[in-house]
This record gives sequence, structure tokens and C-alpha cells, in this order.
Amino acid sequence: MMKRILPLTLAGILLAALAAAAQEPTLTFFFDPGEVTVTPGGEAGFRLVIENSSVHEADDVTVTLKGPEGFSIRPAPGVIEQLAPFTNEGIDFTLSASSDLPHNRYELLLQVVYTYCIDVSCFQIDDELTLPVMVSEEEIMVSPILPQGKRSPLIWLAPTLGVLLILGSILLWRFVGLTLPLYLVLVLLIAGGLTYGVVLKQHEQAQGIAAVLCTSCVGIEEAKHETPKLDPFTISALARLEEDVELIVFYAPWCHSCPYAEAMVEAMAAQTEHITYHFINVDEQRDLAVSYGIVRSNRTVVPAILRLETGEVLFGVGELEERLLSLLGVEK
Amino acid sequence: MRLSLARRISQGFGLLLGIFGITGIGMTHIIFPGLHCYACPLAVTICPIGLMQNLVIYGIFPYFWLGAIVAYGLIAGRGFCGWFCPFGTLNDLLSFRKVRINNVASYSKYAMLLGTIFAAWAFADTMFCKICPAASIEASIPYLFLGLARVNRPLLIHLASLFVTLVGMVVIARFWCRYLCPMGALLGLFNRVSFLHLSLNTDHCSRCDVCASSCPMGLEPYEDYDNHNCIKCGECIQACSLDALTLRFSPKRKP
Repeated sequence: MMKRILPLTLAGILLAALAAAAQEPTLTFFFDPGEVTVTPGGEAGFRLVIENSSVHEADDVTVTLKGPEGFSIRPAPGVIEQLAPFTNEGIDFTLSASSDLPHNRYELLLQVVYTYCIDVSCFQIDDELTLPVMVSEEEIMVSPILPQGKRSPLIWLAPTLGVLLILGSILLWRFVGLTLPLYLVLVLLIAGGLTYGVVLKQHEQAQGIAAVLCTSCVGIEEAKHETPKLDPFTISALARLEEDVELIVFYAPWCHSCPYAEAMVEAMAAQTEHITYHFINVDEQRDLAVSYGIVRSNRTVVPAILRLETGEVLFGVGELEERLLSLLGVEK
Repeated sequence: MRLSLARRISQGFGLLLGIFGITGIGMTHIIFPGLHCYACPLAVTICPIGLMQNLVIYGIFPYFWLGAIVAYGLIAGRGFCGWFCPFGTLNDLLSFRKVRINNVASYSKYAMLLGTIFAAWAFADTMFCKICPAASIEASIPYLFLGLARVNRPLLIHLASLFVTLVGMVVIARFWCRYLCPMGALLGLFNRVSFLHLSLNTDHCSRCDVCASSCPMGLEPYEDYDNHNCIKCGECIQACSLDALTLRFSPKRKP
């Protein structure tokens, strides 16, 4: 009996591990009040409470106003430098509305950018929040706080029912000898998983992950996390650069070595006015990367540095300083 | 057609799908039903373990991945290890010593699977890929020849992992599939309910043990013919002169 139950127990643990691994968003946001009323040409205050529900610290949480026209916030931007795990902090904003704004209901669009680091790997997260704003001469009763990024507890109902259904069908199979319910549940899992996955465009995401080759991810080279420090000979070599060079760094947000390549290009560009550079996210602009030839064996390879004038490309971060100098056409 | 020939042809298809990129086709949306590195220059399908790690890193519930894995599990379970997986085929080619499996130790592949998930979550990196012997063959070595990789520590780790695995395969048939493969662990969860399954006619069985000595996974089919380690390769069926074992493709009526 144990031999038969053990794989099922492992299946349960695996499902639980997958569910645990599918973490909730790192930060959740609440507005207090949930809706702001402001008079044309007037000001109103609101507080944005940011809760860190993950085990990792969030850094440089920066809140800026993206729109609509006619509104401004102070402080701009609102910043929380460090938000420890399982803590929350608020930023008090003052919202100003220009005097020519017509009376209406608006949606204030706020951009929140923050980084969180796991060990030495850092990720930049970009979130957008909306806050309903009523521009009116009259005082309106404010609505209760609306949590943003928090989901209704009902969202757990479907997975809970699903897990119970799976467990129930396994029990019926093992102890009563009924196989039909288990087959039905499995077919439901296949149909539901594939369909909902496609609706969420997870198939495209999967294809995107597989189509981009991050050199440090499969162990082709070691990931570099340190800040690049230029050799004095490199600095003097860069001072001798006479022609204008335009570099494009192709990166993926999940690539561990890409920040090093970006920082190296930035560091070199800081030494001479002849270098201009751009960063391109291949997850968002795959076609552009392909058109520039950032491809090897049908894989878009990151990090890659392209010299626009010559079309030469460097892949990876190994001995990057020397290879970049060579790409720039200067000797140490 | 003899079962072994059918299996070789099917393994050939698996290999062909693995290197289909030679035709110029780029990456598709298909999740491969075996261990096959998506970083391989000729890959057109997605490695399920590599994708799983990435989804864990992103914190995304893997609906699409789950649907595909359950589908593969329901269709054939570990049959894909025996009939399709290119790395399983390599294991097959080195199956010289068909020693009995250590049942308790065979659960180590579940530890490997959970460890892979945990490491991806804890380090936010595809840690398993860095030691995966399939990636050594299909990515590290090819990219070394293509000039994208250099001789460095990651390459040496890959080569060491490949060497250990190859030695393991020579010493113990299907060593990787028995004890270490996380994909085998996933498919093994469905082995007892998968449509492709072994069937034992106890009236014909004399318990002579011939099937057990022919099994590359070191199982005893007459004792436990739908064991979670069974790769449904059919070696036992061919070894049995009493026709006690058959390979079927149908839903199971009872556990």
C-alpha cells in the first residue's frame, strides 16, 4: 500500500510546491482614501500604502505620475528607499488639479518602479496603479480604501475546489476502484490548463523563454554581478577614440549577466563623448533584435552588444572589456 | 512489427524532433515530452524542466505547462522515457548492466525535482540547467564548437556532470532515468493511470524472472507491472516466452 501511496503523496507535495512557487506579486498597494475629490485649481491629499508581502527586500520604490494632463503630485517622485520583507510603508502625496479642468471623474495613473534582489540577482519591476479622482466643487463622501494588487479571497475558491477534486478522485481511484472520476479530472486539467494558458498567452511566453539564449542561464559562461571597473589603460585607450560610435545593448530583464554588459557600456561611454548607446529589451523587441542579427542558430542571444556602424556583435560578458575595446577599434 | 523496431523508430522521431532546427524552423510553442535542452542550436521545442524553472522564477502559475505535462502523463506516463526522449535513448545505448533497481533510492529523482524547483525559487536562476547533462551534450559542447562558449568553469561543471552521468549509465543501466531525471519524476506520477501501460496475465506467468533480468530499469514486472519507474519499453514483453505481458493503450479499468 505504501508503495502506491508514496507517488500520490509526492504528487501532492509537488502541486503544493508549484503553488507556493507561484508567488503573489511582491508588492501590494492601497490608496487611502480609495477615491480623491479635488476642486479645480485646488489640492487634496492621499496616502499610498505599499506592503511588501515577499521574503525579499524591495529597493528604490519610486512612484511617479503618468497622467492624465492637468494633474500633478508632490513629492514627485515619491520614493521609499528600502522596504523590508513583510512590512508596509506609506507615502503621503498632495494632488493638485489645474483650474481649467472640467468637472468630471478621472483616473490618475501612477507608475511604480522598484527592484528586488534575491541573493545577488536583482529584478526591476514596473507596476501601474490607478486612483479614481473626482474633480468637483462639492465635497463628496469618500469611498472606502480599495486595495490594489490584492485579489479577492474568492480567487482561492477555484484552486481549492480543484485540489479537493483531484484528491477526491485519487481517493476514489485508490480505495473504491473508480477510475472514471480521475480520468475526467485529468482531462479537465489538460483542457483547462492548456486553454487558460493560451488565453493568458503563456504559450507565447514559453516560446519566448526558449527562443532567447541567455549565455549565463544555461551555463555557457559565468554570470557576472559585480560593477565593472575600468582598467587605467582602458581609460587612456578610450581617450584616444576619435570616431563616433553608436552601441546597442540587447538584454532580457531576466538575464543575469545583462546588467554587467549594460554597466560596462555605460562606464566606457562615461569616458568619452564619442560613444552613444541604447538598451533594447529583446523580450519586447524580438523582431528588432533579429533584424540586427542578434541571432545564433535561431536563438536570440543575450547579452549582445552591437556596433551600429559596422554591424559587429559581441555576445556574452567574458573578457568584455578587451573585446569591447577591440569592437571600438582602439588598442590598450 | 517487432516491438523493439517500433521503439527504435519512435526514438528516432524523438531525436528528429530534437534536431528539427536543422531545417531552419525556429522555436515553436511545443513543450517537449522528455529531457531536451531548449538552448540546443537545433532545438525547436521547449524543455519542460527549463520552462518550469523560469516560471518559478517569474512567480507565474504554470497553466499551459501543467496542461501539457498532465497530457503527456495521461497519454504515456514514463513511456516517453522509453519511446521518445533523446537522453533516454542515450541511456538505452549504454544499458549494459541491467542490475535491479533500488526502490527507495529511485525516489531521489523526486528530490531532484523538488530541489530544482526550490533552487529556481531561492536563487532566481535556472540552477538545474547549469548541471544538466542533456544541456552539456546539446548546448555547452555545440556552442564551444560554434565559438559562442569558451573553456571556463561552467563548461567544466557541465562536462563533469556529463562524465559522472555517463559513467553511471555504463555501470547501471538507465542510471539517469532511474535515479536523477526530474522529467522522469514528473511523468512517473502518472504511470499508474496512463493510457500506455503494461498488462500482466497472471495465468500465463510462471514467475520465472526472465522479464526482470531483461528490464533496463531493473524492475520485476511480474511483481509490480505498473511501477512508477516503468518506462514501458517492452523489453520484458519480448523476453517473456509465455506471452504473460502485453503493452496496451487504453484507459485502465481498475487501479
